[in-house]
Amino acid sequence: MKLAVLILEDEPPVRDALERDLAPFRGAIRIEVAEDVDDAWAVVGEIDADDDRLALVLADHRLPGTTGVDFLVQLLADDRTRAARKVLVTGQADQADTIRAVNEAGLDRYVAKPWDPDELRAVVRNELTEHVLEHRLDPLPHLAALDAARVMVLLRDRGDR
Amino acid sequence: MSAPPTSRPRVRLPRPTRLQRGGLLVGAVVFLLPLVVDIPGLDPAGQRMLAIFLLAIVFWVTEAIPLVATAVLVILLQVLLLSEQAILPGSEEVLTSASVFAALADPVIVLFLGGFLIADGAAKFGLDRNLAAVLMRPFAGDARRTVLGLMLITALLSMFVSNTATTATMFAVVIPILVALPPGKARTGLALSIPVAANVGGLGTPVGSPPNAIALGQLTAMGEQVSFLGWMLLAVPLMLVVLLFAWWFLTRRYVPPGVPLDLELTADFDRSPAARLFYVVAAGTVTLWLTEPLHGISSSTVGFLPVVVLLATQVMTGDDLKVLQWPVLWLVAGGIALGSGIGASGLDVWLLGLVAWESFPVTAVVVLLAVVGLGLSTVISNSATANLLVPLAISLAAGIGTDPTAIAVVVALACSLAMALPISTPPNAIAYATGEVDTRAMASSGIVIGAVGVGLLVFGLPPLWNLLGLV
Amino acid sequence: MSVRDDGDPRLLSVVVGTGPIAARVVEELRAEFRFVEVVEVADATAAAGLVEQPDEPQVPLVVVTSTVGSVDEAVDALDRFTVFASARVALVTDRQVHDDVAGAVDRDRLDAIVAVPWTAGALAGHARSQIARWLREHRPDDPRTDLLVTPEGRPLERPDSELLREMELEADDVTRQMLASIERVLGPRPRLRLPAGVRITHQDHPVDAVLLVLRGSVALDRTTRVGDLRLHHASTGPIVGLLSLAHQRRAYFTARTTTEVDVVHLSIEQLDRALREDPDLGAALAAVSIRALARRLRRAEQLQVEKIELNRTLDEERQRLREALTALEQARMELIAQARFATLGELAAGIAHELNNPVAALERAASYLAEDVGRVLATHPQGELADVALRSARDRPPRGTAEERQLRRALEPVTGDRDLARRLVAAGVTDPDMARQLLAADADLVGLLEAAAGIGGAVRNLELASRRITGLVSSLRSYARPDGDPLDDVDLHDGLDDTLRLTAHRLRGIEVARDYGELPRLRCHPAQLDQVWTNLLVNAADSLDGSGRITITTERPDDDHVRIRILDDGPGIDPEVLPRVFEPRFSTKQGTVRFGLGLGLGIAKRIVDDHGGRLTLASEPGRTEACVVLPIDGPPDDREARS
Repeated sequence: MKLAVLILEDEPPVRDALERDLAPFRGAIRIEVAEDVDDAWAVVGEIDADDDRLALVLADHRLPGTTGVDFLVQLLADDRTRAARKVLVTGQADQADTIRAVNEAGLDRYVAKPWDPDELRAVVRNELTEHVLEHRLDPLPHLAALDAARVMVLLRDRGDR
Repeated sequence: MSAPPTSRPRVRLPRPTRLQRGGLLVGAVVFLLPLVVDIPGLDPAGQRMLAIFLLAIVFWVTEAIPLVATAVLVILLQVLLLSEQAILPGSEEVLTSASVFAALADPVIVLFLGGFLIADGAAKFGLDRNLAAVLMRPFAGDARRTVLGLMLITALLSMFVSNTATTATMFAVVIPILVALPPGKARTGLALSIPVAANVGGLGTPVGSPPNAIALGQLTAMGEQVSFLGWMLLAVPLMLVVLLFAWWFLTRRYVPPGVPLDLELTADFDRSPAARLFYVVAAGTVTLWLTEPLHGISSSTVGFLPVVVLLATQVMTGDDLKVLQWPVLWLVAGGIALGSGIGASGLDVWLLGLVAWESFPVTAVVVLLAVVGLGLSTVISNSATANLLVPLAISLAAGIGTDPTAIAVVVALACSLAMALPISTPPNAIAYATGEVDTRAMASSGIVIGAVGVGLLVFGLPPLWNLLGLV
Repeated sequence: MSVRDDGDPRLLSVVVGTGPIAARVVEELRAEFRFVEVVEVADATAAAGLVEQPDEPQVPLVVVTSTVGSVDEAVDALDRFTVFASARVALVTDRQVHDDVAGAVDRDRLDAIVAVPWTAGALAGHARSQIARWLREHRPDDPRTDLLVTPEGRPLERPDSELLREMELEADDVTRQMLASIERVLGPRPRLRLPAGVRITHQDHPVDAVLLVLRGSVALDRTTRVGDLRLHHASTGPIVGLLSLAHQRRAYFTARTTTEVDVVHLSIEQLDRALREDPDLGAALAAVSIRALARRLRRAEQLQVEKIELNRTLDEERQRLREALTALEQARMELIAQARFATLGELAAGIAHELNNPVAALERAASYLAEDVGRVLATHPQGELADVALRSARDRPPRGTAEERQLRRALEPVTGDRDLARRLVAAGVTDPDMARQLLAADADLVGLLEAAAGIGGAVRNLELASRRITGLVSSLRSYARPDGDPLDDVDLHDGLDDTLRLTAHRLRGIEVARDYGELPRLRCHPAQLDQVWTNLLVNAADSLDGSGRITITTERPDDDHVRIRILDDGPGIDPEVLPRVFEPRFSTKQGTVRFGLGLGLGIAKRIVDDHGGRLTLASEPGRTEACVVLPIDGPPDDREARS
């Protein structure tokens, strides 16, 4: 099982940049991109079919025909995506959108555009760590993408074999 | 529209790997074979026990089902095939079901229970980390000295806490300085030193790692008593020598001299009444373990003491009990059940009769067992290896005319010395997952340390024990 | 028995009623009057028949008896005839209570009331006075008036009582009579001659005497919270100090002479003696006092009326002020909004200018980068292949994410590894056979190709980004043109497109359809019109809230005008709100209508109005249309200036 990160962003250059900034995590986790909400759900289906686990969604706010916040709210209604951490990567969400994202979609983080790559990676690492800790997943396969010191606590009561 | 997240977890059955599917198939075949085919020289009870033993070998080696599941399967099959509740007719009862189930609460299990509870309490009150911080102080400054300090402390903790938990605790402490070091050999050395020290430290006490408990449990079943202190006298010399060798090897190979490395740890002892009470109980328990010859209370009984006191004072609660590593306890219980089954069914005698062991030199047999233990536990679980090999070793002891205690301890320690691959032990897996250690580095250090360890174990220890009159 | 000239009309006195009362009335009246015929009728209709005679008799008096039933109805019926409408009306009644006279009283149609039984001659006396009044009013020159005298032979003019008689005398006469009466009792009184400005009573001081003013005038002042007020001057009257007797002998006013005056000083004791000894003096004093009081009362009433009028005027003034203030405030808001927009415009122009250089650098750097990397790659043994990868990545339009995944999946059987498949697709290798060859030949080549394609993609993104900035800069520059004289030859479509580009962030997710017709170039203030488009578009976009459709239609309805319609399929504007959307400060931010930049439709409308055009807004759910009609040959004031 691999942890998967889904990037939802409609503008190709921005999408490329996000994907590229997260490239160091490749190998430890699965990174998928989608340009619209329909495609994002297709990706969710594929991740599920491969027995991987959607751990984190990075969504742009302004999307064709909908908003990232709406998508994040949708995620809560689906068994496969409910547990995923949710991050809004945007330069355009106003206060009302953001409040709704926090209250209704359980938004975990907000990354403002333009983002700093190191900061983005730190956010992703932190959110994945939170996800692993919250659900007490085995951190070892994904350790390179996690905050290793923090997840060590999960290994403590694992026992020798 | 936000639906309240359901609290029901999604349980997904893992897909069996090819190896696991093969293991299930082969396991079924080897299980049925002795039951169907009549094996000359083996009475029906022995044949049934052989079936169980073969199944256990295949399942533990292939991990067709989880290790603990195999362990409880062994217990169930013994009840169903060899006890008064047997479902197959035509066999005398060699075991009572009560005695088979008793393996789950064997005195050694009780001893481990106490050890686990103290280890969990140490984590709960931050004692392990704080001890590490205090003990690291004399080793500050040079990287090589720091590594020595880390290894000694890791080994010390690992004697009382599980190897895995020790590794996790120490990595949580070390990772911040690890990532601060420039990428390169020094990082590898530092990252390797912890699992090596944890694995080696596990040799030191009966509660240090499960193979120790398995050997101890089966010896006890045979009527061979080994006290807590007795085990330490047998194993600590080896532990110290291997540890120092491993430090020397790792630092020569990976840590250049004069690399400054400052591991500033701040000790912040919990001074709450609950914590103080825990410190007293832990110290008292360890003291009682070490002074068994003075008072004669068995280590198992002593091990049950902290369980009672900590629960009674509510320093530890039912919640702490829940998170204990029951799978490990039951894995050990399965081994104990297997060993007593082999003895009771007469399978040991038949196994002994397969080979003319008298024609082999004792040392050769010991070397063979140790090397098989080392090799097997390199690729499969140490506990499973011990579960399989310790009963064989104890059976052989009679055949080759040597002391069963010595040979059981040798096999158990050999199992714990396997650390050449990431899958060999959980500490290795953790170190590997940090990304600082590649398989090559792990294999080279593991093989060298394992080889030196087994060499010392086989050729150095028995003479020493004889010299000291321990065995 | 008729005593009358031929020219004078016959006079009739009509008694309405039946029975003994009516009979007695007729009897007494007939006995009294010789020149008035007294007739008895049962009701109003009969009375009408009586007076509709060729010689048109006149009716000075109608006597209604209580036998008619409802007095109001009887009077109403009579009053329908002109001849009765002017008659005096007397009621003779035997009832204790009358609840049927409200209408008559209200219309002032009941002049006298006589109760049954009456003292002999009393009814005749009433009738005499009423007929005399009627004659004085309607026929002042009728000689028959003189025939009406009291039984004592006194003309009817003079009241019987001393008081009423005195009341009807001239004020000076009464004063003189009074003084004479006083001097009869007290002996001659000295006249005090006082110059103007002398205070003869003092406010709130005890008063021991009254002063009779024989000549000159006195003003009554009172000190109040709001200062000294002159309350009476012409209405003072000839006696000063008398009223303080009803005010605990303290003066309510300060009386001050305003001319030289002659007064007679009478102490209270003297007045008391005079009144005691000459009873007629009391009546004279009362008459003088009532006369003075009546004057003062009228003055007070007049003041009250003036006060009410003043208040009303004040209210009107206040209302006008409030309106003026509101208008001022609105004007100020508009000015602020305009000023802000002007500042924004300057800022935008400045930024646009400053952005030119970096954008140009960016654009050039992108193409140099591509060239230089191409040269570097040429030195690599596999450079040619890498160069192809770079170029194809640079030139190919970005693939959709779904397509990308499909390509990857197609390669997975070849690579057996998801990540390698991804890298191959990223390197531009999508054909499975080609991928197989590539992997067989040199698996390390994938890294090189991937890097080259990465550079190509980066260059493409750079070029795309700088092109977008260039477009934005040029839009910004034309959008922010400073106002001045209107420009000729403006293509409205340019302004609309610029606005669409600059409001793109507000229009994300909204489908914008441009249905442009053939438009002539027109004379206008393009920057101002851009503000109009901005407001209308942002308004429409806000009502759509992220999804929907905006249609912009331009057309030329006639030779002199162009028409721009911006239609959205949003929820529409509340009909209650619609009439107010052009008010300058109107905004329903919480509801469906929101205006960007804090400007609003009010300013848009003003701009269109200034252009001599018309901005209208029609809305129903699912269809809200803003329609702008503009004249082609420029704003009207500009047209005048040019001609």
